[in-house]
Amino acid sequence: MLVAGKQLSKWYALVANAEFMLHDVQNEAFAEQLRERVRLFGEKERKQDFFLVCEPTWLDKQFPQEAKRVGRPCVALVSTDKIWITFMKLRLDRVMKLDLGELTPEQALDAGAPYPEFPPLDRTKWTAPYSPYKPGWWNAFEPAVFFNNCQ
Amino acid sequence: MRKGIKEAADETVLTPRFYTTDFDEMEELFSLEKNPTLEMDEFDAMLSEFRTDYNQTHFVRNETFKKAADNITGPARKIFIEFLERSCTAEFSGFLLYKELGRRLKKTNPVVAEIFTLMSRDEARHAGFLNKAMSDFNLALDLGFLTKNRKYTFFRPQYIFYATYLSEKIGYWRYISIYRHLQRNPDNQLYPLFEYFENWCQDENRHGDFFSAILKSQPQFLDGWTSKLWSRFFCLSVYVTMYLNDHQRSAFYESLGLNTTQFNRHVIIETNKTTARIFPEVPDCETPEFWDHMEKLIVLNRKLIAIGQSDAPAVLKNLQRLPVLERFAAELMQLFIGKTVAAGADGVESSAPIPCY
Repeated sequence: MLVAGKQLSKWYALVANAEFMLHDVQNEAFAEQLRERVRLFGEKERKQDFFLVCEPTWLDKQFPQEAKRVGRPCVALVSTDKIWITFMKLRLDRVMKLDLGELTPEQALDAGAPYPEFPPLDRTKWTAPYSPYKPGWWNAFEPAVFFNNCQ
Repeated sequence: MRKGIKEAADETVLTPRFYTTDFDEMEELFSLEKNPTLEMDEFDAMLSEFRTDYNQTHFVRNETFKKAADNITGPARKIFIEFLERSCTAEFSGFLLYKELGRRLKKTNPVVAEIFTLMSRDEARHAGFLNKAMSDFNLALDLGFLTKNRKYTFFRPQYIFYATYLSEKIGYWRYISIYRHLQRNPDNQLYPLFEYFENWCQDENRHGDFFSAILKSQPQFLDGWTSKLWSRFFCLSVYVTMYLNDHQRSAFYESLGLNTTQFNRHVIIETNKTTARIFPEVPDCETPEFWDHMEKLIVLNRKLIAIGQSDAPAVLKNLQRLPVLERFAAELMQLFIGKTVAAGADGVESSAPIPCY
């Protein structure tokens, strides 16, 4: 279905505060998973269908009640792959799962704010025998990837 | 025994175990006919994930393996061979259990059965990769011999779920921590196997996720005080076993440039946080008391090992062991009755509430 020349698809999302999604030691695995999936899509010549969106504009617009339960700033993992999003909910657990309904990519991937600058990790609480991933690993999964591929 | 075939290490309390279970009870739990309301969404999602087969083309060796193996000499060689053997045995035992579960559940729950079969594919791939690594050291494990002759530990399905979830998740944290450390310190990488650990880890992590889905589909194993006791018991069993095992083999971790204690504490703390996303209760691993007890167990374990290795008569050894075992049991009890954290998966009724995401 086309609306004003735009492709509508069903989009699904997992939302949580940015600190949890991008800056928690536990979720360094998240970065690894997304890289793994990008690598897989490359091998299979599949177009990327998942993105990270900071402060998505649809959250307050479409889900005002649910939005109250999300810490800010927040980040959404957004995809047209419902099955994969179901899997990621199982993996991450502490995220809110939302069916966005039919949206254009521009609507689904509309970020309301840039990614936050996280304070450096508190090294007294860092238990690992290695240093953390450099901030900004998430930029590789920004919606710009989608729009670049469409041109 | 044929030349070049390594005799499996003697079984001890800390040796990787082979498991069997009550397959009839497994069928009862997952039969779609007997459980028409069994929630399948997460199983379908897991099946899709495993069918994707992220690592189909990744565990391929190259000529750098043999060269690296030849450069590992002396005590480091012996230590490394032991690491390969234990890891291979552990992966192989997972393969056997998952393969049998896949076979037994095929008619009653084809989705769950296929997931077990695909997990056994992953474990077979890992075991095969490790066994080929051992060939670089002019050895091979006779996996056929192991299958027929190893002693099997019986675990009820409920215990399989707790123990295997923990085993897969702690495997993830162990291997990913080694990988991340070596990525940042490439001079410490003894052998190219470790370059594959990132991919390997994601397999282990997904296996753990499947056991999360299993536990969520069986809420009776996440509810009530008995579930909390079992959760605590299995967490502590796995953490203590690993802590003692690794400190017995600290030379291996030091050879990679890791501090054994730091590595272990990190792995336990992070595994515990992951486990808090599904188990109804987990030990609090971030108190000084917790680590005091763990350190005392290491000291006591060393005493037990020293007694075992002494030349004293068996009767005298047993007498010498008694007070150490009593102290050991007391420390374990202190851990068991120590502080815990209320936990659990989002959306599971018996979980501690998650007020904000």
